[in-house]
Amino acid sequence: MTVPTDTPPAAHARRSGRTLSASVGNRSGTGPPVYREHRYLTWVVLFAVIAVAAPNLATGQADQLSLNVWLAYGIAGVGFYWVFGLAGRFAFCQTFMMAMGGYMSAWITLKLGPNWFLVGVLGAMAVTGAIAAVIGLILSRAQDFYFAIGTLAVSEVGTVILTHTTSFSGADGSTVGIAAPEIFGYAFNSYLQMFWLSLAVLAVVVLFAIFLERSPVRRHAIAGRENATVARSGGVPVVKVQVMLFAFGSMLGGVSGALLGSINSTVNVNSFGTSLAIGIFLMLFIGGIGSAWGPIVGAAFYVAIPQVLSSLAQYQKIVYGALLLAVIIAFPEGLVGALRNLAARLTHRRPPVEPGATLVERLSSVLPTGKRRENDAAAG
Amino acid sequence: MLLQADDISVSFGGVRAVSGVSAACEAGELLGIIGPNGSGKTTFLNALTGVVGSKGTLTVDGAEVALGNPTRSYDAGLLRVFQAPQMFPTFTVLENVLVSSRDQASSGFFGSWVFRPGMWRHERERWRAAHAALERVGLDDIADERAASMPYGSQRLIELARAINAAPRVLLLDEPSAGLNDAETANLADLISSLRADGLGILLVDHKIDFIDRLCDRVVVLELGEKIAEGPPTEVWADARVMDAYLGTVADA
Amino acid sequence: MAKFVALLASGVAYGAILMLVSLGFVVLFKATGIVNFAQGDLVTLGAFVAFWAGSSLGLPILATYVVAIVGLFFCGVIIERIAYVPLRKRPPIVVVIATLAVSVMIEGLIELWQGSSPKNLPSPVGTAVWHVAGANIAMQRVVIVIVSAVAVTAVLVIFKSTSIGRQVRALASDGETAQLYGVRTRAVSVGAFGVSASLAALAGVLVAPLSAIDVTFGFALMVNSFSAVVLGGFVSLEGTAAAALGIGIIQQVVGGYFLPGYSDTLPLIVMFVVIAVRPQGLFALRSSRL
Repeated sequence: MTVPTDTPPAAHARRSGRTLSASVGNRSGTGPPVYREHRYLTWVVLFAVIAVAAPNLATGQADQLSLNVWLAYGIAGVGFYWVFGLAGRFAFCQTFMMAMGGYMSAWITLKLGPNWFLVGVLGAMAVTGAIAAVIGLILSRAQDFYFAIGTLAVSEVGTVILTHTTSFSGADGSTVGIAAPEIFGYAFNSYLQMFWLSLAVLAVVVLFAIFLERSPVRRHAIAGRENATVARSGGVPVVKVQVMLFAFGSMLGGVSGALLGSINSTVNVNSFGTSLAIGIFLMLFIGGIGSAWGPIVGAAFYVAIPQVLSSLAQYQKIVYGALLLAVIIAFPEGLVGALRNLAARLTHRRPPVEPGATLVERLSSVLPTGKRRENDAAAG
Repeated sequence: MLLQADDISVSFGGVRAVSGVSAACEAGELLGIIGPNGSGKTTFLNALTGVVGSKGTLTVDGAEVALGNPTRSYDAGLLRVFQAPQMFPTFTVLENVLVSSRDQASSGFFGSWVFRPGMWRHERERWRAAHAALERVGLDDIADERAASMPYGSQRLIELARAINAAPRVLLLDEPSAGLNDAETANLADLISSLRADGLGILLVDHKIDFIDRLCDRVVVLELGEKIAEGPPTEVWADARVMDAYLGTVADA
Repeated sequence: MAKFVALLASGVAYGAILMLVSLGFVVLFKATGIVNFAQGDLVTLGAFVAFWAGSSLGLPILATYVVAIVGLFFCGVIIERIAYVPLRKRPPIVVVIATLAVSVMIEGLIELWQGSSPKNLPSPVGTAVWHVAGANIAMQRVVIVIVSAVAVTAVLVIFKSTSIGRQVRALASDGETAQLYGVRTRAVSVGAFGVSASLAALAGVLVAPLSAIDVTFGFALMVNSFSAVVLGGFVSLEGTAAAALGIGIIQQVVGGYFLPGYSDTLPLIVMFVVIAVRPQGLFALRSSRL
């Protein structure tokens, strides 16, 4: 029953009373098209491929270590994607959350025993989530640039506090001797066993990321990021979505740190410093800012660089810097974005709807100005 | 009285953009807000929808609404159409309308991660309502197009659909006819009339005199942030102060 | 009392350094709209250039400072050429990230060039000490305060009163109109990059003799100077300078008495509180485009 456009006004009034009732259009058969694809094929295939291929390709200890590190960084990267990619808030504190998670998990398993690993991870998530929720709320009114340096402050101050609280973080801020994690009695002693654990965790994380992409949360996050004033005027709970994405994204950082602690058997705050922070940005930028897969691809690159450079380790910083530059300038959509465009072009379909969201434009909104940007919409 | 705004004042730094303006609107009434450029019309709408902070009181349907908070204004059923169409660049037309859905049940993390069937149920409902809103403005056929690449006139209607989708009590329209040709303006006028007939209150800011004359029951005139006249259009045009205020702009127009 | 005087002196000296760094930052931002994340590493570079001039070229101390300051001016000009000019058509954020990338590369280059072990720079006043109110204040700190005061005053005066300063201010508030009125944008941006780099070098050579320097000390200094920049809201030079001085004093005095070991974090805590309470900065204009 469509709404007749020439119904006399009285009939409208009779039917709807004070508020406007949405009539049933003849479109009720079409549901949300994207969401009807309850297919998780990509997820299944990709993780199956990794599960099969990786152990065969990575035969040496060093390679297996790299695999684990890649997976852990990937988890942290997905978290950063939620915070910056989705919610649009550039946070400098992801590496601090990783350190925090690492210390927390290590502290729990050292106190209670390696078979409490899962509790350790939960503890890591709880503490990072709580800190991030508080910080997120405090900084919720801040412009994107001030949010960025506010979280930088949190990261730096938090790091100093960690190095001083030696009862928690160990002498010299270094917790050593973390035993291999055990879950229900099964000990993940070797790098290969840790690989399965890390892969399982990443698979679950990506599944949750896919759930978010296929839900109204994605819409709310993007609306809040692209035009917060209009979104809020339309009833979108912008602050709530941004704070929660920040909290959950930081929790993923905590999980990542917990895994890294178990992988390396030590947690040291120095290994979560500015270099890694820039590395996380690099992962998201290289891999592509538009999807949760991006940072996972980017993390692979980031982990591979020192391997490729090996003898040229002294050039590492220069290479990172040059790579960052190159990616920003030449590959605004990152590798995943470029692949998507390529696939779309090959199959003669329209590229996915994200042309306006190139990295450069997204980062542009983070710049400081002396004026408030919020009123642009209202100014018209 | 559906909407009662009393003594609304907005200041920026030392400048009083809006100074003690009061206005009221019944259900099914169309109140025009006019005035020369810089008279504070848009700022007044901003104040009512919480986009800027303001002093004064706002009552909708007998309940007081906190000022300076866009969510409160939304909850009270005040929906706004902006002066320049604000499309979310990466969304389709439908998604642009969907953002304002009134039914937010299961649209958060719980619905996304824990209880997806519930989320789908409400989501289907939201899609249906959004399609209906688009149909109301006559744009349902472009629902899946990228909103940012739609022509200006369509974008205006998309904004209107977004407002309608939120089951508003009061619609605040900021120069909705700007940039539209005659046919589009007539279409818009009909749409606004039919919305008014549905029982909404409508505040209409505009410059086109015949648009105002045709649609508005009453008109409020602002100049430099103050209300200088109020009444049915014919009375207002006859008011000497209003002519004075406009004389400068008439010469430029 | 002696402790207070010593801490106050440290605070004023540190504040003076922060003033130089934060002013360099804000001057560049006002002239070009660029947030230069390489500013901190330029401080480091300045100190290392002075070190190299002294140890490899054998130049006397003051000459090494001249080399550093002039050298960094040209560094700034080079950065303007390679990072800013080619990316002029791109949104400013590209240049900002480019500066972040440049900062990483500068650190890498310094490590390659001079190695990563800490270096010591000699002070022009040696180990002379000033005895005041029972406290021993390193003469170097006095030098820092005097030189910074002169430099900062010069910058503020130039900005306010000279034609160049007016041109920069015009560019900052409305670039297009300024160009229509004949403001020479290229000259201004080259000058701004150069001057800002020189200010960084000056900060570097002034603070280096106080303790051994490593590759990252400039970055840390820049992070602390963000507090002053935030307080000044990216808008007010005087506000930034005053904030920098205040922050330096707070860090040393409050940190010295109440929170030793955490004193480095105080500027950041202050900044965080400011952002939380007044997100647009203390001195920023609260404007609206309505």
